[in-house]
Amino acid sequence: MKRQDALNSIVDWIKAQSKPKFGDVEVSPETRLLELQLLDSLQIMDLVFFLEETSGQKIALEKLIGENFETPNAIAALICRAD
Amino acid sequence: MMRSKLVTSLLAGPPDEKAALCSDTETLSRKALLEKMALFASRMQRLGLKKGDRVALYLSKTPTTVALQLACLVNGLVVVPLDIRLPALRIQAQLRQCSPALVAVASEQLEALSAISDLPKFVVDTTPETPKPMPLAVYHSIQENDPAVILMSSGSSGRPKAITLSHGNIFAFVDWAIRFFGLSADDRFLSIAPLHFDLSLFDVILSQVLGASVYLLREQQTLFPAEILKCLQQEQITAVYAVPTQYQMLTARPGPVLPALRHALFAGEVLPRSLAQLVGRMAPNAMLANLYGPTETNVVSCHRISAADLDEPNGDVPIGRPCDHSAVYICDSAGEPLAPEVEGEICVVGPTVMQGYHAAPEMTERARLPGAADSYRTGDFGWFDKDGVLHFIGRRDQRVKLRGVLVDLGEVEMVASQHPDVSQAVAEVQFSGTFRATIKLHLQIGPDRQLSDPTLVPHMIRQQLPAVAVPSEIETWDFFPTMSNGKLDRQHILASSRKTRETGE
Repeated sequence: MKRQDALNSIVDWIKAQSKPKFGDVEVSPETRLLELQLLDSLQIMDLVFFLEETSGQKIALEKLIGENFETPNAIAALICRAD
Repeated sequence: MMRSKLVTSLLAGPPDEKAALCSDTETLSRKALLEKMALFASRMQRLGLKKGDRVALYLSKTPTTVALQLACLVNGLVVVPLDIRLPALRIQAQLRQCSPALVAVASEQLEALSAISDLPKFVVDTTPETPKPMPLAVYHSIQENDPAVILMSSGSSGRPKAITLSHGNIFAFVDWAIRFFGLSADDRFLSIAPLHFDLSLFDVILSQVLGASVYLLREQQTLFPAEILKCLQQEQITAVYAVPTQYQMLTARPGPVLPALRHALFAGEVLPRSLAQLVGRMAPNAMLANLYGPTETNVVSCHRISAADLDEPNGDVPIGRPCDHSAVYICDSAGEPLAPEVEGEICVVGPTVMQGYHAAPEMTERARLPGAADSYRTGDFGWFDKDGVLHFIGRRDQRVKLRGVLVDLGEVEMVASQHPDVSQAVAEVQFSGTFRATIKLHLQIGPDRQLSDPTLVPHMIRQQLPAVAVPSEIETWDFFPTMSNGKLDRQHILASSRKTRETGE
């Protein structure tokens, strides 16, 4: 999966997920997702399933740590690095 | 000086170098903890705090925060842990309800707190100007009936409930759990739940009564299964007490086996047998147990999960037999006990039952069985089977537990109705998959009308209620259906949007 495509789909997913709770929020590739607390623990798990579906690859358990979810860029690196 | 059993046991251990409170950034040995407690106690003493004064904790969970909590407890000050993630309006309502003498805060949060409250602040990380006093002085005599902790909960009228637990209440739970599970100073505890949850009484207070060590996870660490699992492995944790949702996260994908874990305890939500099986595989040497009790009573029943339970893949784990400290009854609406195998309200009498709701005597009185001051009508429904094992059915009022957080649907509806376009609101819980429960709101806005600002309702809720109460879906209605007597036909409203419903707490 191309990095830019991955990034776009991640940003769109986060916008759609946070909309009911936060309304229309600006999400950029460098938005500090954890500091802003845009996602709760269940949404993070949902995001992992979404990433696995769209990228067609499994994300190893040991990758599920905070530093890999700090920004959309970090999340995109998570699935593009695994190629 | 008279001390409660809780205070006596908290102060009993030797001031040695054994780790007492740990996190990824700070470790306090037993000796350092007692010194820190002494320091906090003398600072608060100098501020003129009296026994029974309340100290609100506007702090994230760190070893220093827990040291302050323990310093308050041993000095007869009442601890009120707050959820610093709550919206400002909610924090203000909670502070009004519990009227603390001080709000403890870290210097980095001082500005944020000052914007929402003008109560006196106690900045925990300022350097004190006087030398530290040793040993830890206890300034007040403390009895079992003295209040120790206030835990904030939701109330239907929009006014938060301040659940007051006494020293005796907490000690009765701690004493039971130590005996029932055979816990000792050699156990290593993991604290996942935040301090404003009753589960933390096990992690941070019971562990310190034992003189054991507890590892405190930061909130952000609890979001990521790999971080929790890494800690379980590295710290060789032996005891975990968490909501089923948290275990679901840990077992959602193949992971390490945890041979050191001896106790995997569940509470706060219905526990599916399928999840207990997964946890049993992850922790092959652990005793699994399902604990039950609302914050008002703490744990009053417990089911030790057996191999036979795990052979049956479907259904939920029962909530077990009453603990030896309390009596549990199934009662009718008048509070009269019912026969076995008959469904009714779960009612409790015993020493763990709360002292009451702070500054709300009528509300406290309504929650009791007639004539029994140490009783509580839980509002939960269940039944005893032939073997005396308690089974949980659910609630028949408007309160639901979402991810361990009690939400009153009536309160959600009340906030939504404040929107100028909304004439009436109905909230329901929607389930999808095994562990996602969210709120759906139905709004009556009249024919040929639209919500002028669709994001305003979620925004209003987000400002006043916990984040789990914010709806993930909103449906607008011209008119809500009514029944022949003119009352709102809730069932019809909910059924119209119901497609598949797998579980129904």
